[in-house]
Amino acid sequence: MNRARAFASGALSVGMAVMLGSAVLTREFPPFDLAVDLAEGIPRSGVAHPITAVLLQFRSYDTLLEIAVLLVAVVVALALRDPTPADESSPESVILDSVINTPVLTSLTMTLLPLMTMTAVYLLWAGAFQPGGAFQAGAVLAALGVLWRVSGRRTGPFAANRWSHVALLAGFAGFLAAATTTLLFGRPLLAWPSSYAGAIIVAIETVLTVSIGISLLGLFASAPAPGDERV
Amino acid sequence: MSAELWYALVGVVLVAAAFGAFMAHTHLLRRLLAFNIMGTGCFLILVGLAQHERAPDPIPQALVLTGIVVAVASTALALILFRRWFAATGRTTLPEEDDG
Amino acid sequence: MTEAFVGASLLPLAIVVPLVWAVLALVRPRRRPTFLVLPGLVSWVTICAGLWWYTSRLGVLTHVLGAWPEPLGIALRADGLGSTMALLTSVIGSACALYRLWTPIDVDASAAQRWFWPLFFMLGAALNAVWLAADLFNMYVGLELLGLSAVGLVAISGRANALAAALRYLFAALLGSLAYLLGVALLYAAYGSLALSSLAALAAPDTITYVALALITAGLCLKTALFPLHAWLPPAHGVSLTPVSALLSALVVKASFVMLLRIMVGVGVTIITPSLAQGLGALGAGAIVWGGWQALRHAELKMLVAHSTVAQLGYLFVGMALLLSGSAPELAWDGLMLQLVAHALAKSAMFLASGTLIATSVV
Repeated sequence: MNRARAFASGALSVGMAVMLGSAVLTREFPPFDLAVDLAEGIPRSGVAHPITAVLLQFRSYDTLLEIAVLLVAVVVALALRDPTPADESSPESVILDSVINTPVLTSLTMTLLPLMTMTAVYLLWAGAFQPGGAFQAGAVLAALGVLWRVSGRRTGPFAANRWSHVALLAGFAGFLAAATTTLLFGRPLLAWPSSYAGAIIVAIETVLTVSIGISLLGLFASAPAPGDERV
Repeated sequence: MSAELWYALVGVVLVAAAFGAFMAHTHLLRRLLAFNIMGTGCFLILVGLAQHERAPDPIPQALVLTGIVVAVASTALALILFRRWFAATGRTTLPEEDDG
Repeated sequence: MTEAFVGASLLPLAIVVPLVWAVLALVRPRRRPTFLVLPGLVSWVTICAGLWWYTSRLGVLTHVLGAWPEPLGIALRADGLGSTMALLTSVIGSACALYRLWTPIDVDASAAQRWFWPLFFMLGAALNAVWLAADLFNMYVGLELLGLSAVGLVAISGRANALAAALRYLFAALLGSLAYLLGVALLYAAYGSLALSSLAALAAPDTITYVALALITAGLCLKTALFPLHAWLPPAHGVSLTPVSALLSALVVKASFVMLLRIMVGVGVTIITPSLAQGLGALGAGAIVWGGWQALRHAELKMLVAHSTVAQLGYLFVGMALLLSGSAPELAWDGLMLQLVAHALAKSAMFLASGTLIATSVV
């Protein structure tokens, strides 16, 4: 890295720090306080925990688009897994994967399998009244899947069979179906009826957990590296 | 100085330092790491400054959760593209920046 | 059902229907699923046309999502700008989709191209989400969806330099979105609300608002490829599949511009001094000159058209400068709308024609 570039980057860095620091330190008390509206709305929302209520009630549209973002990332990963004509590395269609085949990792994975599954289910259930929820539970499931693949046990290329393909789509499709159903009943989009709101939110979070777990695992499994084993 | 303002100032330092690193490096993986640190700093500012001298506010916390998912998806996509690029060409920088 | 109710119900449909079609296209990804795509295009165009018609008759339409009113909840808003861009998106998107369905141009045997259609419909949904948004964080997530879909569409081109172009585009897009998010974080901390309408009413010219607007402007200008932050655009638009290049140049770069316009007109109109606005206009003028010069220097047709996009985007910023500095606001607004619509139609036609010319080896 040449000195001019290093000096310019340092100057940019200092400038950014000064600009942001002055903004942060001179903030005055904001005019709106949404926490009050939120506290009034929680009893009607069907969940006890305010963050889950924000994610799946008050700002559920953001969550819908966020799951779409994750799905798009997985779709691009699946698309790039197939070799293109520009591939100079290997002409055959191979799925490359990282494998660490040691007895310690294998036995650890088998021990952790039930424990991590139970943790994921607990996190999902606890999200209704404590920090937790679909994304945290899905991340634990994805970590379990990563251990499973890295320790050498797998069932073939990722998303090659029908079930994993369905699981990948089920979360977003289920959320979208629930949202569209509210439209069909003449309510605004994503307006859950108060009496069923809790049950709907739990159902959506459950399918989202499975989907998020499979999506994150798919993102891990789709990045080839030279020297990786062939499946 | 409350704890939340301290978090926000730490976020400022992270964003500034990582921005400098993003501009300085040409190695794509280092740029990606710098981007992730900038994202973390941004989330710290979002949560810290919004709750400074106010009651704990679940809205910025939920926004950060959404932001983390989006950042994870973007980072994963960048990594996949970078790994394919590296596997295809053996280079770690984009073409016109190789002499940087 | 009253007209207002029907009109307001079309707002969420404009986003939900492309998302539904994206999921359907993912069930069995195929290269030319005519029976799947045609109903999707017809429904998309019909909904956007209906939305435009109701908006022109009834004025601004609002749809409150989840029945939680702003600023706690999120609302979708269709004004003249939003509904026109949504209609334009559906028409140009349909043209590009038909181009891909009915011509063999840029359709090769690689398996990666099976995934074109899910990404295409996600792109359409993301564009509608940005045109109809009225909430700052909502715009961020929509912009991210748009960016990742666009990068994916560039990357599946299969050409040798597609990966490099996609990587450059992705890094520019991520940096731009992050700058925007940082600005939104500062605005939320300063005002306590994310709804554009409440911020417009309360904006005050203090340090934190200036810094937030500077970050938002910088991030969105990077995503709109304003000179001198335009280096990522010509490779990405020049190397992708023909219908993808058309969509990117005609619509995707305009999304961040329209977001910037909305934020400037809403929050910044009392804060942006005329000299700052003229500064943006000067950069736009630089884009016109530089983009035009680079277009003259390139012989390869698609790169020439891509550089021309850089130049035409400069006109948009000149118009925005005139709007914000108050010298001729109505004329500037009319000019901006005309340029947005005319450039989208012209540039998409230009790219589609270029693809045909290149494929038939005339050029």
